[in-house]
Amino acid sequence: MTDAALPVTEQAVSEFVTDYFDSLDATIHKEGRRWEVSIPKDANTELSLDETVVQLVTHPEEADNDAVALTPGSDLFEQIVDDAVTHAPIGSLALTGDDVNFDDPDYVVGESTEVTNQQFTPYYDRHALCVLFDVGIETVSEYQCEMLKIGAVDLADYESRPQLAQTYLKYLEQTSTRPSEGNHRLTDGELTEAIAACREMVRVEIDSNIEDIREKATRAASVEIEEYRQYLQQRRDELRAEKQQLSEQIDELSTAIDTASERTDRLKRLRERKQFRDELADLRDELDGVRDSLNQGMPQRRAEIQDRHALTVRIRPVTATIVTHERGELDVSVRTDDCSATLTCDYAVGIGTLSRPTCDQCGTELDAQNPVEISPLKTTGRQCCGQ
Amino acid sequence: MTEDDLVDVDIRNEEPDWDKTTLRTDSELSDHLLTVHAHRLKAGQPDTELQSLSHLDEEQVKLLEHQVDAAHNALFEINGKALLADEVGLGKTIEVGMILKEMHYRGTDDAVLILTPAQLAQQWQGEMLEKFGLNFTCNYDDEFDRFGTHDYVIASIDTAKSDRHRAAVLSKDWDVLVLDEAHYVKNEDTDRYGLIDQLSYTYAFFLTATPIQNDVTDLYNIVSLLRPGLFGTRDAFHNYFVESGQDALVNRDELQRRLSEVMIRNRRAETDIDFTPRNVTTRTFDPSPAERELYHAVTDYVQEAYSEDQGQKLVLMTLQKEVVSSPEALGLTVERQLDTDEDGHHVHADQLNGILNKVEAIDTPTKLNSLRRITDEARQRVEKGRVIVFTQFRATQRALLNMLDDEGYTTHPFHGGLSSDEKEEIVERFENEGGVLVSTDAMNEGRNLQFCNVMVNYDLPWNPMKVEQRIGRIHRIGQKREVYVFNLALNDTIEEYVLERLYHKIDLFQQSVGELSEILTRLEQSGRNFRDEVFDRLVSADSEVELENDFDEMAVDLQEQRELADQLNDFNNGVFEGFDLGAADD
Repeated sequence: MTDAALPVTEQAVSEFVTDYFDSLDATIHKEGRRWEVSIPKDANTELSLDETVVQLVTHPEEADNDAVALTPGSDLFEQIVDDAVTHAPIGSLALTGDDVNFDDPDYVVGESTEVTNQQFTPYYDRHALCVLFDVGIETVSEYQCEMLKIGAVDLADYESRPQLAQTYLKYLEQTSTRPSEGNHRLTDGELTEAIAACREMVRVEIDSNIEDIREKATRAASVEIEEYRQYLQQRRDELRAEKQQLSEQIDELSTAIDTASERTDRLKRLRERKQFRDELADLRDELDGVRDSLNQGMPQRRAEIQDRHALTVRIRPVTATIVTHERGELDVSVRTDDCSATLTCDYAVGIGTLSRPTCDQCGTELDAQNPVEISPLKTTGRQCCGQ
Repeated sequence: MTEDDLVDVDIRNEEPDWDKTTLRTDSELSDHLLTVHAHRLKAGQPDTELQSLSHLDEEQVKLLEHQVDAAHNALFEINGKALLADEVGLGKTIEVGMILKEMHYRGTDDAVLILTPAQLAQQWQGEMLEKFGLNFTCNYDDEFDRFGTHDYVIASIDTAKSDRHRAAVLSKDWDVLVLDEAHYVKNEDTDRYGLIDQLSYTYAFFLTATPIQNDVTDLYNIVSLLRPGLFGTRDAFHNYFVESGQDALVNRDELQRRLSEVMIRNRRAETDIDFTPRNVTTRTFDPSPAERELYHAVTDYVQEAYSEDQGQKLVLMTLQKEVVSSPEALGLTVERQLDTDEDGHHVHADQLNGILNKVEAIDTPTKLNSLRRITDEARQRVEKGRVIVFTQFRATQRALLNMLDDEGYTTHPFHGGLSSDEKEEIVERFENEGGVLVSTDAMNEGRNLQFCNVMVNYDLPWNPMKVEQRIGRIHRIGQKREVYVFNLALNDTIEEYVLERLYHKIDLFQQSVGELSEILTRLEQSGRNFRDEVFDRLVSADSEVELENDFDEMAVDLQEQRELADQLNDFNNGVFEGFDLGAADD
């Protein structure tokens, strides 16, 4: 599934901002790349522009002193987008046969065969829900990402409709035709259930992304654990050496105490021995701790690392569009040099062909590998029953 | 607990922000579509075109498709931490220049540190300024203070890791770190590796044509510096990617997949780089008796003076170079030596005065006649008679210009004392009027003189990089004609040794761009420097035979370095053969 995000080009910014200002009934006087904009006080927006000069520039520093820069990364553009995302998250549109271009079917192949006409006859409407989801995969390491994904389901059976989702996205990018308003409405329960179905579709789609990031995070965590293990092993060896050294010093002191002739000398060495014994006890404690940690697989550090590298996947619906689309039959007129025929198949606007025409002779479906052949009496598949 | 259990995945199905009452408040479809559109733009990446490209001066830098692709890929696909591992000579420096230019344009480069081998630091500085307009302070600059006080620094990695600077380098948060010849930090037990490991940076670009030096662990080390964890633990890497007991790679598809997240490697065969042929002619001449006498007098003086006071090394080195450049250059330095002595009497005054007398005894230098023959021929056979003559010394430059002016040539002097505008005008005039441009080595990297295809090295720097830079002024991408390089040298002089025994041994005049820096860096890694090696041999030889032997020994060493560099290139090409790590097609 492709990401539903759009590249933020200068042209995209210019077009979107113009449309958005229009939607707010703002007045815009354009002089080249300098626009003077005023938004009515009562407009439903947090934006406040009053005879403000907005200037389209490539880099914010290039804007004139009296103008506010508008670029893909400018503050103004971010404010406008943040304002717009809250406005109308739910809507309804209708796709009809008039809204789509019918591609030539793949079963028409070769220079001598051509499609002369395609006629769609709608029989009834179906309703689907297209939902955009903001997906975030978060981890403290660098392998995090944000995506905008789309899911679409049929509202009758909650079956996924990936093709409709793609058509919906493409359709919204067309500037030549504006879709018409749909009139289908949903109850809270229907909406919740449909969103859940769309969410599941998205979740399945992002599984490979999650697994990929999880693998990377796992490798990074393993390296950290291994480095810590090596550190502990090194520390254990150092502590052993220090312990050995201290024990030897204590032994030497004990001998010295036993053989000391002066009391002051003996007391001094006794104090030293006590201090060394305390240090030795500390060393033993630390060494035991290091050994235990190593033997038990460093549970505390492992938990910390595990916690730090854990992935949180957020899936949040941000818009929902009820898409009413027509279903019916598509008649495809095909002609060769000396004969013609019409093939009929079930068709859904936005989804495409629901069934394929078949060979009159054997019933095999026609497709790119088994293209149509026309004779005066019948249409057959070239591969299955071709001459 | 297995490794698979290390990372938990928590999937949170969040509720929408919208109010369910919205359901019943019919919003206009056009408003809804704007909201959908706004979400799509909000999630979209800001424009990932290289916006700064249009701001580059095409006269200064000609960008190739693979370089633009690599820069784009490193910034936007690999997210700013990349190992640029193109084969030698494909312009990795240019790729980094484009990356830094773009980051500068987008304002994401508040602090940039470029670490290079010592011998390449100033060359980097020149290229960044001339080709990309990026002004860096180099640790060899007089105004260089401490690492903490400059935001755009080019430094030798050994300076950065020295006790004096290490703390300052580590205490600063760098936005961008560039590491040239990154294979020299391959060893995790070295100070260099430790420095890079501890540096704080957001973006990093490591450059090397040969990421693997000894065994494939080198690749693990370099990549792990850039992307800790990409290959997992060292043991995991070895177990999975290295054939047991051998130095061959296995599971190559998975290795390629992971490497492609961090490494870009373009191959020469897949690029559109095409150089025209280069003809190199070395003309050596017997010096006149007066020239021979002068040469011996200067060499004897240099040996003697150096044995007494090694602090004079630079001056003595200059004298030794000037004696084979021109009597004018030598005479001027000797006079200055005599004048600058504080108590009015130079220790070697007699010797120096003797040298001055010998300078005056020279009528027309032998090399000058030879230059005249070349310029005469060019006047007849080359478009507008254009020839560039390089010399290291201003006094030699003046002498050459005088001779050429007297002979009726159109001449153009080019040297470091001119302003940028003046330099620009001179190059333009040279292009339009033709004739002879006599230049010192102040002619920088970015200067494009490909409209000319004949070049004369009137004297030769003891630094092969400078020779390569001279040739690079005319023999570059975009040159459409064959290029002719003439080297002039006097027999039995230091110049002949350097030229015949050293430069020809490493094939300096026929190398592809970039190979030389590898050889010199290898030399530097073993603690040596080309110029000092030459001088030390000259001053320490007791006889002609010993001198010849010493130079032959140095030649053998250089050739060995070259062969090692070639072997490494071949080895790396073999390792990555079949890998598709080129810049992504957009």
